[in-house]
Amino acid sequence: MINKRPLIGIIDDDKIYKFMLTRIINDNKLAERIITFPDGEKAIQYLTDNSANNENIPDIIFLDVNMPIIDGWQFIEQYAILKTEIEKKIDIFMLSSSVNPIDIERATKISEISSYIVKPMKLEEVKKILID
Amino acid sequence: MNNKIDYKELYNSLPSGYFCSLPNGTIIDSNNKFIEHTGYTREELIDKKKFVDFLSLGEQIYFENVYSLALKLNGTIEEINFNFIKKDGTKLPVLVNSVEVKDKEGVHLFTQSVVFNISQRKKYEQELLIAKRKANDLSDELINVNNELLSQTELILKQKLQLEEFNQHLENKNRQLSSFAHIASHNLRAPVSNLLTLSDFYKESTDIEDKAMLFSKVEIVIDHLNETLNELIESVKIQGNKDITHDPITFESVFDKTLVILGAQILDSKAVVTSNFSEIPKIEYPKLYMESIMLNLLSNSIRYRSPDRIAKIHFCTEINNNEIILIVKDNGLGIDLKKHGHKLFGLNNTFHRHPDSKGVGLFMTKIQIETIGGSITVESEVDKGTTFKIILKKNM
Repeated sequence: MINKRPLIGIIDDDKIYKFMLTRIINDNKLAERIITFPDGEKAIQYLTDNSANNENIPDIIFLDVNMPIIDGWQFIEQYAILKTEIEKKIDIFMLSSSVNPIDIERATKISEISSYIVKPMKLEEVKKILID
Repeated sequence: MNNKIDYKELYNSLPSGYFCSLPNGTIIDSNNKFIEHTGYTREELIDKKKFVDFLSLGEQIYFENVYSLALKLNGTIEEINFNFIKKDGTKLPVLVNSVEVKDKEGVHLFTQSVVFNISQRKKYEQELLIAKRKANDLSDELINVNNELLSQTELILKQKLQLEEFNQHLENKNRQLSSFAHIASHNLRAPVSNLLTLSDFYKESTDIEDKAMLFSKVEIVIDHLNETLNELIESVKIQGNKDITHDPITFESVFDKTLVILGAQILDSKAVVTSNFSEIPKIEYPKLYMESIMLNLLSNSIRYRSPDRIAKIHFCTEINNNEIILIVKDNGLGIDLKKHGHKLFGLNNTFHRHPDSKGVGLFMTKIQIETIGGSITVESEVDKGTTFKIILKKNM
């Protein structure tokens, strides 16, 4: 059975990284649509506004750790409260250039995070996530 | 009476010396003990020697001028100490008591003298003196040892202080290192990995326009990377420059200079900037750092002012626990410290969507302050304002 291509959210303040990830996904036609946010606060705002609109809620979110205003960890905290109002299950992949074991350990303990991925993310990894 | 005392026998067996002399000093009789003291025979002594013959030159003078005179005046004299020179040249310390014997008309007939051997007592005296000297030496030594202990205690205290200072320095270094590791991981690794991916895209792309677009992105990353590296180099330079000279400066003069530099921004923002450095107007501090600290904090306060009210920014100094403190207070946007407190002083961390936000200022400010041995803390409430408190250094 072939799944419908997913709606993807990218939350990252790094414009270059967003451009690259978008290009990888689009070149390989891995997404139905991509929505990007410059920081966690904007993303939370969007999810709150669209909580009743399932077709606007991303299936997958690539979440950066280091961001202004609300960083990746704080986004997860707020999302944990918000998710009861959202019907759709979102798979969140945390992306960071931090190889600090403390960060990785922390991420594995949070149930909302599907996986912690160290940047840069290879095309194979993106494909694996989006096709599975 | 069976026990009839033989006075001649008693006289000769007396345990102290006795002699009788004419007014001119010639000894005309003596008991055996006295003869024993002199080392001469009775024949060599009686009618031949005078008492002064057994004295050194110095004691002869004393004998003539003091002893004889006193005897003549009082008729008696007691416990005068002489060093009696025996025939073999050895000396015998003695005490002499003398009394003049006169006839009914008061004419001096002869002098009777008793001579006590005090060599034993002299020896004790000598020993006492030596013991006293030793005790004095010991006491001196004790004082010296005590002084040495005191100075060692002082040294240990000083070393303890130095160790504490060193420890503080190490802790600072450690913190700086861990913040450096954090920076290397976040601020360097991200752009480098971006460059790698962009270069992959570039290699795979066949379209010239697409290649040019990718290249322009590479340039953006390189610029950003270069900026980050320069900031890091600057911070390492500051940390390595612990021996930077501390200039005598007044807060007023540096503040005035800051106002001039930020004149346009202050005018545009209509911010009301005030100061009061009367509590502690002067400090010895690297002038460059003070200028940079004031510039960063003032421009921060102006940049993050609230759009809903006129910005009020106040600089002042105070002294607390003998530490000179600079306080910068504003009524701006404030920062949620619960969320952002831990990364407030990190490199490239910003908390407001502001076009000028680069997140360098506070990072550098903190490094400068800590390199001089101070610290910076912040209190803030969202939409109320922010107060930075900088412990600059100890008041000398």
